[in-house]
Amino acid sequence: MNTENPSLESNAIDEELVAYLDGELSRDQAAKIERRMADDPKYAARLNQLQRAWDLLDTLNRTEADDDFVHSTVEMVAVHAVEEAKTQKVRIVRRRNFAWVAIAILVFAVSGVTYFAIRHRLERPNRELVQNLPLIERVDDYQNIDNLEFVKQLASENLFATEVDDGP
Amino acid sequence: MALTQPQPINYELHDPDVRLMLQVRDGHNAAAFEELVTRYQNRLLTILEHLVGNREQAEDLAQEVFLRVFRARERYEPGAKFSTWLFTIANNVASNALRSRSRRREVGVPEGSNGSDSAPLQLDQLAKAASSFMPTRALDKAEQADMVRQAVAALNERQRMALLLAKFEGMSYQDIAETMGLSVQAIKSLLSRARVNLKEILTPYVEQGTPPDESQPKKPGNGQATDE
Repeated sequence: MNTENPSLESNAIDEELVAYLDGELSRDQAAKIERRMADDPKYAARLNQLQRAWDLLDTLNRTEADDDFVHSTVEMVAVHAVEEAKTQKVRIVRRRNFAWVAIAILVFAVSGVTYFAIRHRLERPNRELVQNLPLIERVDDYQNIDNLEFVKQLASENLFATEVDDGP
Repeated sequence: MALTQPQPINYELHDPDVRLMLQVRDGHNAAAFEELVTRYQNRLLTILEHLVGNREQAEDLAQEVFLRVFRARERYEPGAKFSTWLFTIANNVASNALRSRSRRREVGVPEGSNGSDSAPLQLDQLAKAASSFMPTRALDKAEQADMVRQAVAALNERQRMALLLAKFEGMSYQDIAETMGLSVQAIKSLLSRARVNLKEILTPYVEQGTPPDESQPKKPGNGQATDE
């Protein structure tokens, strides 16, 4: 017996007895309780008191629903279902509209990118020509040059500055 | 010897209420839902009325429970008995209601005409009354029922719920644990404390009144409501 903490032992005994009354013990555990009951009148009395208090709960009424409880419950749920369906419909329409807008933006974006890509591609040869115009204008002169490095050196020394046409 | 893994329970096979709920989920079957309401209305109302102590509020809460069942239909998966799932929702709904009620009391909001007029008597008040009880006659049935109601109302919410599920639904500790989201050991403790509290309050009335005529304690499981 736990003399240091009798309330703990008392709680443990009560748990054991209640579990026995509720049929929650194994056969061996139940047999142990029954043996103790046979030997210990106080133990048996405690079990009896717990059982009687439990039996008194039978005096509590079991509620019976009114006749229209089912009807009013089902009606309430039906109203909820209708509102739910409406909300769902609005959500679907919004999602659909959003999807169309998203598709339209995507198509527009893809078209724009494609347009500019094609335009860029088409204008590329002309751009190259414009960039190389100074070279093209003097292509006859350049064809007579043997050493391009020598010409670059002359240009860097600015010897013929007055004769150089202003570039774009 | 090889140990075999326990087979998971097929609730759809074993529980006709699960099958009804699956019809609600899959076929949007209104008749199946109505059948579930019919089967569970009294059981749910009984638990809720004894939990909150008020018939009208119990009816409102019961309808809230069925509405939540309906709302959850599309996500429903039969991972437990239907009754366990239903009473889990009921426990949650009742807890929220009791919490709101106690908050209203704290800020001094008067109870409405359909609410309880006063807080339930505290356990120690009832125990004190019981210990000084000296009846001159046996309690009649109505007085006895009233005394028992007060004793149950004096328990804390969790003890009361565990007790009501054990008594009125005949649930096992495992099922109650699942319903209340607690361990089996916690339920064992709750039920033990609840029944000891009841014993403390009711024994003097029982001993002075007309107790059930039994000389031997009942075998386990006798006299308890069973689910099926």
